[in-house]
Amino acid sequence: MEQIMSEQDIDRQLVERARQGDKRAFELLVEKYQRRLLRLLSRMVRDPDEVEDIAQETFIKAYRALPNFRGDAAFYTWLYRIGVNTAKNYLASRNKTMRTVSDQAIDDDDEPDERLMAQDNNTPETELVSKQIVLAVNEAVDALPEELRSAISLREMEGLSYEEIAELMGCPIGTVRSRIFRAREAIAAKLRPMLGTSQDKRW
Amino acid sequence: MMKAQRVVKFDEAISEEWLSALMDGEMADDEAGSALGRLAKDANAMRSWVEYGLIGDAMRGCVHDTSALDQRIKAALAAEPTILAPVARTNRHTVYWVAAAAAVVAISWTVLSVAPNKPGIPVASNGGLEVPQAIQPTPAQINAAEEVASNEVMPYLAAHQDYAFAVAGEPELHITPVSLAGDAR
Amino acid sequence: MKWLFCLLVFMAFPAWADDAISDSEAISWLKRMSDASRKLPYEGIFVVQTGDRMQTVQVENHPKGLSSESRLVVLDGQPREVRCVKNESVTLAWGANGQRLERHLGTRHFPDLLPEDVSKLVNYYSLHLGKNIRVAGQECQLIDLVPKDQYRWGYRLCAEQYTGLPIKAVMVGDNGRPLLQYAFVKVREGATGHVNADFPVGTPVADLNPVVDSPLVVKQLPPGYSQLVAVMRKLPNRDAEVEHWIFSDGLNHISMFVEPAPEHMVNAKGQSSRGLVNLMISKYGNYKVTVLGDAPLPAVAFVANNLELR
Repeated sequence: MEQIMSEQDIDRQLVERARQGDKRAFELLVEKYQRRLLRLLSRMVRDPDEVEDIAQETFIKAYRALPNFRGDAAFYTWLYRIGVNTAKNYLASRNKTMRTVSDQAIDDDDEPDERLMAQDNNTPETELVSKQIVLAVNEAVDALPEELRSAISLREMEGLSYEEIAELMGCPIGTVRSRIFRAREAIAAKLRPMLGTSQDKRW
Repeated sequence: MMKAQRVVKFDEAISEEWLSALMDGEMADDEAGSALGRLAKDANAMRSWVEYGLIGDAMRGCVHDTSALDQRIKAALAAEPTILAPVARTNRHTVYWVAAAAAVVAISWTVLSVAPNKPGIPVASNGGLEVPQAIQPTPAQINAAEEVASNEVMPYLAAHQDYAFAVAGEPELHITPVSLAGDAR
Repeated sequence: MKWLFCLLVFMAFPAWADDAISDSEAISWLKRMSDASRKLPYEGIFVVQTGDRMQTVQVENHPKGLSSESRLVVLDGQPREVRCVKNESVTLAWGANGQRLERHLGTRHFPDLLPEDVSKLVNYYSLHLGKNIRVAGQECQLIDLVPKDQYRWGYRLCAEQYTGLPIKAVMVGDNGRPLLQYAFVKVREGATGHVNADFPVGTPVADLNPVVDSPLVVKQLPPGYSQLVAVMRKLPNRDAEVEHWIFSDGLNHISMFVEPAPEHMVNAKGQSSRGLVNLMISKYGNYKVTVLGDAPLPAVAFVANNLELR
């Protein structure tokens, strides 16, 4: 089978636009990866304020280093590596030691396995409200009709492309696109009351 | 074998289905460009974008309250000088320059063997030689090989294709459906 | 693992009822195809495919005296147009900063893939005629160029039955695997318009400097290969120019780059994921030699191993 060059996502297009001077495109990448980066860093650093500082520094470093990013690896792998190095430097400069981490979850030569992270229940103290959101989303996913649930799970959990999902589910690509969209809309509808949908309040 | 169409056409899409597809990277480059422009101007689309991202992260079990951090990062970004690093421009003196990555050949490399700084293998008397055996590389060798493969090789490949194929396109391609009339597949 | 190449070659192409055609008949077929691609006016759209990647290109050919001018427009992604005039080709590309010009070393493009002098090809390929098939609405003759040794990839060509114009060309690797494929989607004889050969104002007509006093000598090339060019050129990721040599048997091309070795050099052999392109990097004295080409690894290795410091 052909080696898959890169995961099907919008990152490459956003990176290219950012490299052409479009800062908004980089902001979309920040929006996309900030939660995941925070989770990664929380495994290394105890203090939540410090975690946020490191996350901010990571994104700024990544932005500055974009001209050197050649797109031969996934953007998030590259971003995570910067994050891990920034955290390590931070800890070293303060003579702090790293939290116990699940060694399989973070190896700075590999990309972190999101599924391993999801299963680790020793998460740092996420706020009660955040946990409620996770709960609500997962309940909403479970309540979806089967074909919508499969489509969005294959996309979000397995990272498959529409084409791969179409092949797996035995339906046209247009149907996959429609199912993923309808799944997202159904879940979002249940989330909106919890989020208080104004633009300013971001989770 | 030609692949089925997977380019999302902007106008055909329903309501914000285009946004969902855009986020999943299922939109062709030229369409994605206009879609991102539309996203920037459409507050509802932007809200959906944020929600869809949140849904994905929540499914993977990861949510933090990022409202404050988000503002800080955006402020810090605004203060950064805008980077500009498009595909390299032509040097005005020497115009023999090729696209940074040749499109026609798939660019993933498999390592057959890597060795640090051995001199060239002596030649057999008739000029023939054994087909090199594929040996299992060590992790250190793989790292070294990746170093070779990623940045170093592409300019050579591009320069090579500059001669061998006059048409070497941009690295980003989208798939367009084509049927060869009457061709047996 | 001994490579039973002879057996593999015949597995690579389907068995024919007849033997290879005679050399003289083969040369006549090849010449017809080569001439048609240069001397026939035509226009059409073709697709280039390798692995999962596809590119759609529009092509026009305008014969002019003894040579031709052609224009190719890449229809996917960023707009690019290539104009091939005499022995030069220039690409006009439109990027983020407006138009830019790139100059190419060669003019080779589909369907003009065969060398002008086809007679030497029969020494290294045997030709087999297949059946008639229909491609892009044209009745075509299948012609297989089967390599006689391990130093070249084979080709399957579909030539339009009246003119000999290649409508489809497949570069065939081990076990008959297609490595690279060109095929017209639509094509017709006659080309409207003409290629404006006036290059945009301000184009420096700088020629590449030939290689002089190379530290290396090529002692031997794989059978059938000869040196086409050896020029100094600038690559994007280094300051000094490097030597770029090109060897070919007419259908397979191998490039060699010679430059001072950097401090940390890694010898390597590599192969692109479908095996179309093979690569070897090695050190000779204080020089780094990179050999790569769309040719089988034995050919690349042959070049890499038959060099000598002057």
